[in-house]
Parts: sequence; C-alpha cells; structure tokens
Amino acid sequence: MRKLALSDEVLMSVDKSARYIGHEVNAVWKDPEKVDIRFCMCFPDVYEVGMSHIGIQILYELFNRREDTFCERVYSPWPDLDKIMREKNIPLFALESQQPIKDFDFLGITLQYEMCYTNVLQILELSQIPLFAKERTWEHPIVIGGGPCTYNPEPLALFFDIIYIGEGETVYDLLMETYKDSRKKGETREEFLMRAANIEGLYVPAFYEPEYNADGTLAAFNARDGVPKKIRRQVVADMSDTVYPEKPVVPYIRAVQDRVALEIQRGCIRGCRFCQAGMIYRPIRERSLEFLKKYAIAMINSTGYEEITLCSLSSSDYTKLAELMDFLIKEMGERKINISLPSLRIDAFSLDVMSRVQDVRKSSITFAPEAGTQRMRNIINKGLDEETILSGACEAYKAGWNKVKLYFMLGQPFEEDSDVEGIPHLADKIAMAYYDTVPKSERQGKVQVTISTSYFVPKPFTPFQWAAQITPEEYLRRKTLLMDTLKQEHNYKSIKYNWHDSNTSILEGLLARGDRRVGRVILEAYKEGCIFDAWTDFFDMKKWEKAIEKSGIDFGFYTTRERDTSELLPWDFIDTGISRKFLEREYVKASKAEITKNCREGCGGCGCNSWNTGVCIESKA
Amino acid sequence: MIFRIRFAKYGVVKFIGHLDVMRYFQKAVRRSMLPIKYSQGFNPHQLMVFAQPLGVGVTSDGEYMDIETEDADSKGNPMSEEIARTMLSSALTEGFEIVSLRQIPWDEGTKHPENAMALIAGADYMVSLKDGYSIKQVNAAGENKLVIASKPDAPDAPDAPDVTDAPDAPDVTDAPDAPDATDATDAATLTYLKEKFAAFISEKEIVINKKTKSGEKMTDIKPYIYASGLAGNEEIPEGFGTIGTMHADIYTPGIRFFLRLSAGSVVNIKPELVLEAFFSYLGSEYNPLAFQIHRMQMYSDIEKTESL
Repeated sequence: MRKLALSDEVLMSVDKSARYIGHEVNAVWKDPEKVDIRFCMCFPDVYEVGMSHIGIQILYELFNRREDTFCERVYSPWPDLDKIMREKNIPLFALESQQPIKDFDFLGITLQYEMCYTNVLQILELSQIPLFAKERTWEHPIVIGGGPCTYNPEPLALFFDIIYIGEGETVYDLLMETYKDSRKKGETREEFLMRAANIEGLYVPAFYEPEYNADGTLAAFNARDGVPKKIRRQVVADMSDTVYPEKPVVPYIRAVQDRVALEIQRGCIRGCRFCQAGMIYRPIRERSLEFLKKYAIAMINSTGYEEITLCSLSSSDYTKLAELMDFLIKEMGERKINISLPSLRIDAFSLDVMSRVQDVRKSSITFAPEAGTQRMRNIINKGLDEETILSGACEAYKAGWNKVKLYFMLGQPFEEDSDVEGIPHLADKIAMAYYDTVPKSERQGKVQVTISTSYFVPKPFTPFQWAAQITPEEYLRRKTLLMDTLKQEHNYKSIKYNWHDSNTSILEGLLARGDRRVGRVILEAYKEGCIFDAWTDFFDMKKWEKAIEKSGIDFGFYTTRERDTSELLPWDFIDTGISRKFLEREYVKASKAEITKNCREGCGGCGCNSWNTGVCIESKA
Repeated sequence: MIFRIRFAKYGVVKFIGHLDVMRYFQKAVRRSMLPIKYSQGFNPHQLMVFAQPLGVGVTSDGEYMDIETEDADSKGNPMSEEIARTMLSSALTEGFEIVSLRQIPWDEGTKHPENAMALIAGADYMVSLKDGYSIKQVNAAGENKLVIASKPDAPDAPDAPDVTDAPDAPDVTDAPDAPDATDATDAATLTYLKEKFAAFISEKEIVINKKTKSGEKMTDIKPYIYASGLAGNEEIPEGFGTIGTMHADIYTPGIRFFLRLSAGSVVNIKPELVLEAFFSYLGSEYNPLAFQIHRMQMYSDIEKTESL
C-alpha cells in the first residue's frame, strides 16, 4: 500500500478525506520508475463531480493502454484542504502515486463549464506550477486543456501550453510519441511545442497573437510562421472501433453519477440553435449494438455498480434503441441492475420502456420545450410542438405518472413578452390535461408541474453566437412577468416555479465569449479568492465585480452586445467543420421563426459531412 | 444459506466511512458473482447485515457482516464456506480482507438467524501512540507528570515532515522508506506509564463527561471496561489474542493500550473515552490525533469472550 501524500492529521481534519486517498477499485497502478511519460488527468471540480465524468474515464483508459505511460487523476481539493495545503505548502499530488504533479510530464485539464475556470488556477497554483504558460520550463509539466469550453479557449489561453480541440481519442497517441522523441533528442520546450502545434487539432496559444481595433473588437489573429492558421477539430470516425473503458474506476464515496455510463452515440441530429453541444459534436455517430452490449456487461461485471445509464444528447435518436433496451432489460434484470434513461423524448415507446425500468410513482416525466410558444420554439429550432408535449403528458398520466418537470430558457434572441407569458400558459394546459385524462377515482393526489427557467447564455459555434445576452435586470423582469402570469393561471396551485441565478449566468456569458483579455478577469477573481464558482455556497459576485473593475474590461462589450456577423470572433481560428455561412443562415432563419430539418430528415448543409461519417453517410450506406 | 464474515479494514481505506464501506461490499459481492439473495419489491436490495459501524480513521481486524445467499450459484454448483470465501476474496481490493467466513445456522425458533448487529456485547481495541509523538515525563512543581509531546517535525506541527519550503528539495513522499524521526519509548517511561495506567484502571470509578443527544452527562464507565492493559510492541497483555492485531500498523513509540469495552446498541463505550479519562487522571491533555485506534475483535458474549 502506497504512502499517502497527506498525513493522518490532515486527513482527519478535512471533510470526506476519502476524496484524496486514491486506491479505488480499478484504479491503475504502474511503477512510476518504469514508464517514460507521467500524465495527470484533472477535472477541476470536487472529486464526486469529477469522478462522474465519462470523458476522463475514456482518456484514462486511452493513456494507460500505453505501456510507456502512467496516467493518474487529480480533482480540485475542497476549500478546507485548499487552506491547509497553502498553509503547510503541500504540493498538489496525483491520487494513484500520491506524488506531486509538478514532477509529471503532462497535466491535462478538462474544461467542462466556464464556472470552473478559477479552479484551473487553483490546480496550477497548488501544484506549484507557474500560472502563465510563458513562465514554465522543462522543470514543469506541459499543461494541456480539452473539453467543450475549448471551443473558445481564449480566456484561458495564457494559462495553457497546449489546447486540444475536439475528441481526445484521435491524436493523443501522436502527441505522446512526439513528446518522447522530442525529449530524447534534447529539444527545447519551445521546439517541442512547435512540433505539437503542427499536430492537427492542437492549439499552442503562445504562437498566436490577437490584434484589436480601437473599438475593442478583434482586428486580426496572427499565427506565427510555421504553425497552421486554423485548428481543425478532432472527430472520431468510427465510434465502434475506438477506446472505451471496460473497467471504469469506482469511487469509494458516492459520486454524483454513481453508476455505469454507457455512451451510446456522440453528436445530435436536432440542431437546436441555442445548443453548443448539438453543434460541436456533429455529426451524430452511433456505436454499434455489439459494442454497447459488450461494454455494458464488461463494465457491470468489473465495477459491481447497481445501475447503468445510457449517455447521449438525445437517446431517442439512437436508431436501435428498442433492441438495446430489450437486451439491457433482460441482462440487467437477471443481475438486479437498474437502468436509467435520461434524454428521452416522451412518447408511447419511451413511456413503455420507462415504466418497465423505473418506479412510476416515484419518478417524474421531463420535457424540455425550452420556450413557451410555438413561434419561439421555431426561433430556436426546437422540434417539439404543443400537441406532442400534451399527448406525451396524457400518455404519461394514463401510465401512472403525475409529476411533470418542464425546462425553459429566458432571454433567447427575439423573445417577446408574449413568449414569456406562453410558459405558464403551457404549464397550465399540461396540468389541466391531467384532470381531463385521469378520472377522479383513479387520481393519486394532485398533479405536480414544475417549471424551471435558466438564463440564456449565447455560446460560440451556435447560430446565436452573435446574439446579445439580456441584462440581469431584464432577466429578472421576465422572471417576474412569468411569475405574475402564473398566478393568473387556473391550475397555478399545482405549478411550481424555479429559476436560475442571474449572476452566474451573466459571468458565464463573459467567459464563454470572452477574448484573451478576459484571462485577466479570471486571474484577478482568483486572486480575490474565487474558487468553486459553480457552487452557490462559494460563489461571490462582489469579488468578480471587483476583478472586472481591476482588469478594466467592459463587461457589456462581451455579454449584452450583439455582434455584427462580419465581426472577427475570438474563436474563428477554430475549424469545427461547421461553416460560418451555415450559422449565419440559421441566425437569419431564427429571426424569421423558420425551422431547419433535423439531420435525418434532410441535410442542413452545416459542413460536417467533410468527415464522411455518422448520419452524413447513413442514407448512402 | 447465511454466511458470517469477519473482515479486516486497514491502511488507507480506514478513511472510508461506514456507509461507504457498506456500499463497497455491495459492489464487491456483485463483482464476486456470489449468488446473494435480494429482498422483494421494486427496488430489491442485497440481504446483507453489518455489525457495529467503525469510525473514520479506525482500522480493524474484527469487522462482521452476514450475507444470505442461494444454496447454489447460477450454474447450479452448491455453495460452501470455501467457495464463498474464494469468490468474495477475489473481488476485494487492498485494505479489505476476509479473516474468517463460516456458515451460521438458522434459529429453529425464530426461523431466522441471529442478527449480527443485535448480537454485539463487547469489543477489543488496541490504541497505539503514532509516529511523531511521544509520552514524556516532565517535572512540574516537584512532581513527575506524563504528557503527550509531538516532535517539532511531527505531522501536526506547523510543517509536515513530507513538506519542504524549498521547491527543489527532495520530497519525503518520493522516498517511502526514509527513516522516521520518532524514537522508541525508553523502558523507564514505559514502566512508569504502565504503573500509572494500572492505578487508573484500579480506581473505584472512572467518571467521564459523556456527550449524548440530550446534552452532557456524568457517567461512570468503570463497569464497562472488562479488561485492559498497556504494552510495548513486543508484548500483548494477557487475554488479548494476536489475531486481532494482524492488520494493525506498528508504530515506533511502542506504547499500546489494550481495552475490552462494552459495545453494541445498549452501552457502547468508545476507546477514546477511556484514553481521555486516563490523560485527565494524569493531569495532562489528551490529543486524539496522537493515537491510532484498531478494533481487534467483537464479542457476542463478553463473559465467555465468545466472538460473533
């Protein structure tokens, strides 16, 4: 048994010390002396959140398949331990070997949401690695970023040596080979980075320099000689012939996702105009049934989990879902394993499946109409109409459900007050449908409808990337309008309303569409003491306001300003495969409330057929 | 079939709390393919019962759980103690180990086996002074007094031993075999400490301020201390077997308290209460971080020291 980095005294004085001890079931162990490359994979949030992420498990498997590489893990120390580590000058360590990360070859950090950016700086500082990439030498690890937030890497550009754009399965092996070769030849760190910058999909921020106009907009994005001007997103061509974990690491303490995760497909056909994931993971690519059956059984056997969940952006679009469910219900039923099915469209088929795998009385039915009127749903291209929602709800009521959750966004482009009022109107119709559908004698209590609204944040590489985010004051006004309208509804006593905090969303807007100058705000906020901003207990808007003031940036310039479609955007140097023309076309169509067909109904011409895979070639196969 | 499993919990997994240990074993049983029985209902759960929970930070050689399995596995092979032990062992990871596994009979009266949890009457503990600490005699006002001291570089001192301020100095974590700075306790101090402990235990009553849900209460715990002793690393007091120390860490100071205490749902005395009372008797301060508690065994019948 390895010696722990933290003393018993420290571990006994912090909350949930099992976060820091490693040694979990299926954790990989290699002799650090006998490998060439030591890679530490980081999810910059607390252990229970980070351990729930399937992407890390895939990459952990990918790296550890290599005999020459030992990939370990690290998560953000909770503020109680953070304080002790600073006081006692304890360097941040990897869970497996319990050795300091500063001695590793690579530190890979996944960027899953903007509100973890200050935690990235926490990880670097606790690791005793210089915050700025330019201050690092061969004495320090190569710090590499990945994940969905890297589709606009600029706010964090100065803190990373390399940013990996796209899916990790493709060029990490090449990067490892290049690293080994470079170290063997005794090249400088810059020479190595220059070679890395020439691997497709890898962005080395130090080799690119933004130039600004007097009005603050981007004038040019200059690439140094010898590096590509555009960074091409990495896409796995065959999802059934790629790495996936057979033995995921099983935490001792309960993780947020305490179950086996089976990623059935990547990408989405739907093309909702607000959704970044729906764009940046195009085209939809399914994994084969054989692949999924094999991994489902292997992962259940190796972990001992009592639940398996299907992962995808829209499970109902998996073409062989019925067959997969038949298999899982039989195999998992025998093993007394529960099946959970998120992201299902509510219809007769999904209700049937759901009633077979979960307790109807305890669970709720979720719809995400995202907008209250048909006009608005057309603007956002959400292919869901009122009739479908109501008939789905009626089917669910007949099958025994009486709890309905509804998700909406406030502040999407072209939204009018009548669209806001449409939200409680729709909720009322859904509640009403219960009393119309279920006879009094069969009702199990009242129907419970819950409305949740979030505050829309425009994201890069979506048709709304040019749109203005509404101000927090305007969001609060619309929230109040919604609430006042709700009180007039017939069934308002059966309807509950939750809304998302406005401060985190407007900051998310700043970080999502910021340029390189926004890095200063993140640094200042971190210096003010901001970490774990995604946690309401720790989020402190006052510190962020101070940081914005100190860094001298114009908050509104990044958030509530509508961009002209001719403007050079900070993320335009990334080639996601989605053409800018397509996004512009979609934005115009949105303004006219015109819809675009989903990928299976008809190609919208986004440009992702350049990969020649997934849905783009389905019809031809 | 019901199997009663005695297991050890040691090393880094001592930081895993009781609920997580239960979840660990539920997963381990599934990985082992043991034909465990499930309860009825929409959310069936495994028929598995744990005895007394173990506190975070405590190691043990005497944990118990009962599991109920089918008489044969899915292929029809009959279950036996040997097969069950082999199957479960294969699914356990470092830090958890089966000490013994035996089939327990059904109670013909109740048509149900006696529940492991309800049976607990007493437990043996070994409490060791950890590395980095010592117990010293100090002369205060003409009187010899025993106090717990921590070395300047002890883990709870401002700077931990495995931490260096100089960024380039080698880390102790890199050299797990680096000699520890702690010294063994000298014979004279150990003898003196033994005398003091014997005198403390012989007191008519040992009153402590016990914290309960409703507040604090003065309680005499003397009747619940069934046996005790103090020993160095090479000895074990009479009546305390060696099996219960198999997975316990050995520390350099060589000061080990052995305690047989009332345990279970009626009166549960934690060993740290006794230690706290002892140091209070010595007129010095008790430091819970200075000691490692190890549960050695649990008993169903304290008179006959019959284990579960």
